[in-house]
Amino acid sequence: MKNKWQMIAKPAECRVCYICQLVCSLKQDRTFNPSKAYIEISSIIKPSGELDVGISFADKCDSCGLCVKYCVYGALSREKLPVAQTTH
Amino acid sequence: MEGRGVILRIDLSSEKITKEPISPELCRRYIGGEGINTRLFWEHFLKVDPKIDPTSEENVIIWGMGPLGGTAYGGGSKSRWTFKGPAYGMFADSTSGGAFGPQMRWAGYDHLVITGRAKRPVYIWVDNDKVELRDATHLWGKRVSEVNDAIKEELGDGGVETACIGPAGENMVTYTSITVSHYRSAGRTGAGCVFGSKNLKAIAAKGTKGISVYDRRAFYKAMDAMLAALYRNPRGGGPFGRERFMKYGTLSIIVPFNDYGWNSFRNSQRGQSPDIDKLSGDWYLDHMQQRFISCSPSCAAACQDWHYIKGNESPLAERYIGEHGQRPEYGTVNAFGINCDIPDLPTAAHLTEMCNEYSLDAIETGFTISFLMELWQRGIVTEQDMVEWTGEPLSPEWGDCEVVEKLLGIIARQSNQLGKILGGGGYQAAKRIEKLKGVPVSQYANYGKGGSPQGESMRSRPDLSFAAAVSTIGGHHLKGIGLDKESSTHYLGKPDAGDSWSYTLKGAAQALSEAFTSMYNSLGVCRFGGGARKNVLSFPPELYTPALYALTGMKITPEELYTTGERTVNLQKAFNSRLGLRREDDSVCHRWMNEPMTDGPGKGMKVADFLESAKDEYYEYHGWDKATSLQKREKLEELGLEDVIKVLESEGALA
Repeated sequence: MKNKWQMIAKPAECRVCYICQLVCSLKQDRTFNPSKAYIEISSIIKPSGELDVGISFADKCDSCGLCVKYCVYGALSREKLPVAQTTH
Repeated sequence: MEGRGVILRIDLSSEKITKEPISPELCRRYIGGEGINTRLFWEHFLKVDPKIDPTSEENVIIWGMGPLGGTAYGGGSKSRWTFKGPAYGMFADSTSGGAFGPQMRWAGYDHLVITGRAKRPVYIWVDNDKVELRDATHLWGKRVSEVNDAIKEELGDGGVETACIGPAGENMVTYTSITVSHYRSAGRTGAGCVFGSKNLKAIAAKGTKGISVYDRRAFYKAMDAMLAALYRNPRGGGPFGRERFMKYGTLSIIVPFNDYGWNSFRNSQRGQSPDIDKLSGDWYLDHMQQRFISCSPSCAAACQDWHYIKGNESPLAERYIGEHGQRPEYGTVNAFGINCDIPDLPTAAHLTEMCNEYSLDAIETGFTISFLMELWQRGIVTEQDMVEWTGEPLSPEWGDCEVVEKLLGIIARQSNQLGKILGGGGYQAAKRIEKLKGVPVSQYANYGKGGSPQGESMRSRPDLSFAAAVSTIGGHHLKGIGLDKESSTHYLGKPDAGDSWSYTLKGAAQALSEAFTSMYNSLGVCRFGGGARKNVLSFPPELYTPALYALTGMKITPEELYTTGERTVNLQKAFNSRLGLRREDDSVCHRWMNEPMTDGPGKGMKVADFLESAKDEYYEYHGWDKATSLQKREKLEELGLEDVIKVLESEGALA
């Protein structure tokens, strides 16, 4: 069954190093290429001057956990989804 | 070769743009980044007279990033810029973080060689395979943030990263930086002045081609080894260790340095600030920090922060409400906060941001201004002089942030005679003021080789003051910085090089450290995060050789990798020898040399106590001639630099 895991992002812990994007692209595209990654780190400067960081996942992300393994800052984790009950 | 891009060449005079592959031999002998840049620089000056004015059309400026930059390796991604330096008149290179370099790598380029001079202001646009020169007339005179905004709007892509200059570079202030990705600087040696002299306002880059990998599984293993070196390293703790570094960044050193008397208070007249608590890493975290960030992609030891000023942080903060950016580094906090005695971190952040906007090097700028302030303190420069030089009665008093702000504008805009006096740095300012006023003032200027200032108070820092006397780019703290006790014991048989209060082994440690530093800078990793400062034993060549193999398929031994650093240092040295630099040019200023240290545990120390004996040891360790400092044939043969021997021999620059 696909998507047995759910990705959990904590943007407050992210240090915007893009290692998650780079390891993801290495797996998906066999290159270091953030544009091919299934995870995206984005940052914008708000009018107050505050730096806002966002973490998003593409639909294609299968929650493989590679980015979790290499995020040394604790911004990424994944949780196992409960197995769906089936009725006949 | 997998994992590698190509060399892009742009001649601004003819507007010719060409691309060429990097040969496997060049990769093996120089790796990339600083190494290959240095080789390309050397080859340029086989066709061009090395003694040219650095602001002439004949100069070259080369960008490069080592192969591990822009990958997921975890060591950060550092750009290297190489050129003949306008600030100190010799070989020059400079490092910067930011995401500009990785964008170039992702676009398929490892090096960019820029020659000639554009007929009108231009910027370079690198969009994967498409490379073009675009008109920058409308950007001339603009500050860095205005340039960035305009270029991103014009190209219709907010993801574009830039390396550009503000007004200081256009006006050819010799110590102009290139401001990279807005908040990082390629500073000290005048890279931005070369941009200005070439009518080059900016380079913009966006890359989506990516970097290929030779052996993916092996690369994961190499990443694991780098993370282990960073996080499971027994030397990760301590006052200068990784844990403190990730918390405070370079501000981790400011309080210990004050205890040791190593900060530069009021133009290095003393080594301790009485107000250090207001400039500490803890003060920053408590009052200013919003979040931690990394300064360049691929850094698993991110030591940067982001702040925005709300106005209630300090009495002066109200002036800067809404200003934001990355945390000022130790060098700039020391330069303005301690050296100009403005003990206020929001002001240090504000002045750093002004330097970024003008693209002024903050360390050289701070020391040039503090030199003026000391002359004012001593009554040598008077109100009458200031009126004559600026048209207004400016009083450069210690601690006056408004005067410093004004002086930054005067220097960057070169708007009056004072701007011209200060536009060549502290050492040149001393010479100019001596000429104007007919009294000696050079004894109050702080500088190492070639007239370059240093971030710290140097009299009781034998490791750093020695580095500033001999470095191939003029006095500098990032071309080798000595060894810690464990590395000293491992490589030199005893721990003395790591003893900051001893004069022993400082020459040998510097020679070793220079080669290691060049090696790290050639790999593309950050010297602070993914490479060593003094603890080279924690980041040995054998850590990186599996990563190079995994990325590119190139098998290289750890010994060969270390030798690439040595080879690169020797090539830089050879260029300076061609300019006529000899043993006597490896020197520091009067204050560091002869005035005993005033405070801290190193009270009474001075550079004259050890400089000449350390130079003997340093030249000997490098395999160079002690009497002249020139390179010996045997050493260059050992490094496979027979072609360099021929050049030096024909010019009388071989020992």
